Amino acid sequence: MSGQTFIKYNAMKYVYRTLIIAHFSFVILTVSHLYTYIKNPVVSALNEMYSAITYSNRCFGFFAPDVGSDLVVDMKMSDGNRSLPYSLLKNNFEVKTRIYSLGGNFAQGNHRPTMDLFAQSWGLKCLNENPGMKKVTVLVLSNVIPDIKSFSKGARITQDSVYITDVEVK
Amino acid sequence: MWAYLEQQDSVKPIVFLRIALSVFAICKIAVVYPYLPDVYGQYGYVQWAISKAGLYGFLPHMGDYYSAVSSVITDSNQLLTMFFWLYVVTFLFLALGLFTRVAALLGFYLHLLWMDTGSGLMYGVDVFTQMALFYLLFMPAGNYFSLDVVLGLAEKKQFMVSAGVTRKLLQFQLLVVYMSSGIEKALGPQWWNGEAIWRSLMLPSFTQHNLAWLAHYPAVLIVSGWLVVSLEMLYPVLLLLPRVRVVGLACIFMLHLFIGVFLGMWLFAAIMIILSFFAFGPQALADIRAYRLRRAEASQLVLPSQAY
Repeated sequence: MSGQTFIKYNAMKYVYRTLIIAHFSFVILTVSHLYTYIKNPVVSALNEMYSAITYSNRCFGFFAPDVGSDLVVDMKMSDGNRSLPYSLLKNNFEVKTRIYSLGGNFAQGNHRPTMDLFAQSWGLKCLNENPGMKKVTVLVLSNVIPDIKSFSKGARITQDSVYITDVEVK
Repeated sequence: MWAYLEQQDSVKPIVFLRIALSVFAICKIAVVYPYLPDVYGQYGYVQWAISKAGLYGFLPHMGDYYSAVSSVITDSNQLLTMFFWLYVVTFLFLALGLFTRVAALLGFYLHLLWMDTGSGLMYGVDVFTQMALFYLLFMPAGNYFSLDVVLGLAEKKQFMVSAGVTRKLLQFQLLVVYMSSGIEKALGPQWWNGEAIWRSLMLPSFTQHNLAWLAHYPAVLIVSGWLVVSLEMLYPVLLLLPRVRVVGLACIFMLHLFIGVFLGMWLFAAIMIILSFFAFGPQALADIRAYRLRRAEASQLVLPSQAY
């Protein structure tokens, strides 16, 4: 190996090593939740951007620490005379899983403006697919799962109302 | 540490990841093909205006492409179909190892494009696929069993330092993923008292079979919860120690198969199995071969004494 090649090889080696250390610093920072203590906006922004591209530095606690409730979107469309049900669900296992995830994003942080945006999306989808309809009522329910003991004593799954809105053609 | 990391390793496991990940990426989108406008469409479950608003400006989004070509393509669903086929062809190229480096980069970008466009419906399967595609970018995926080698576009190499480094990095990433997931689960009471397993099985969104009768056998639910937490927390021990690696890997496969069977999350189960098998499968197979060899040698040693 010539002197120049040797230097180039070693320089590249150190570049790679630095990148590996930077990569796992982001990963450890995020999974350990240490990023919440970082006050430096540049580091925070870099961490979030890196996550948005590589998806390697995220919190991987699926169904953790607890398993929450799932949501049911109950929609009714109306043309002024009659009211008909409308469902977001499709007969496809993958779409079902994604709709569960959609419910999670809808309810994340219990943020009313975000919920309104999602509900507008669903209402508009319904009205686009059913041009004769004028109004859609979006009701979001949460499935309340009884604990093991209560279920064995006869309690069953019930539903709590989480959100309701109307989307209308204007 | 660097001496351990920067060792030569076989490129064959990377060929496995390249092909398995490409086939998986195609299946993942093919499964929802009839529902592309619902999941990723301009007026689907989450409108483009909303999914775009939550993204950094530099991230790709179908809406940006549609704005650029809306004078030519009037129906946004046509654009979805075009990108669907571009995505499929890209991953076919990657599976075949044709223009591997470019295909890996384009595949990484297109997968990110779909994720960002349907960001409201994204879940673990997308996260792990994107992560795996990111690692694949740095792997010597086209240097063995590829059309690039056949056509002389890449040099055939069976052992490379980069193969060793990148596989070990993905191993470490998986150790972090499983262990952190286990720790986070252990922090909540539900995984200790059986309620987490119970709730997962009872959530109407995931229910595949009627398992309500398990309420009469809470011990089964409690032990299952402990097993999940233990498996995830002990993932590094189970997968790094040669003596228990085969059993550990089998347990992880079982865990993900259960997720598929009982929660219906087949794609998530598949990507996790692919990743764990890529990362630790070669060592597990070597452990099995070594075990058989030891047994064969032991039986040969015993045979002469048995003759008497």
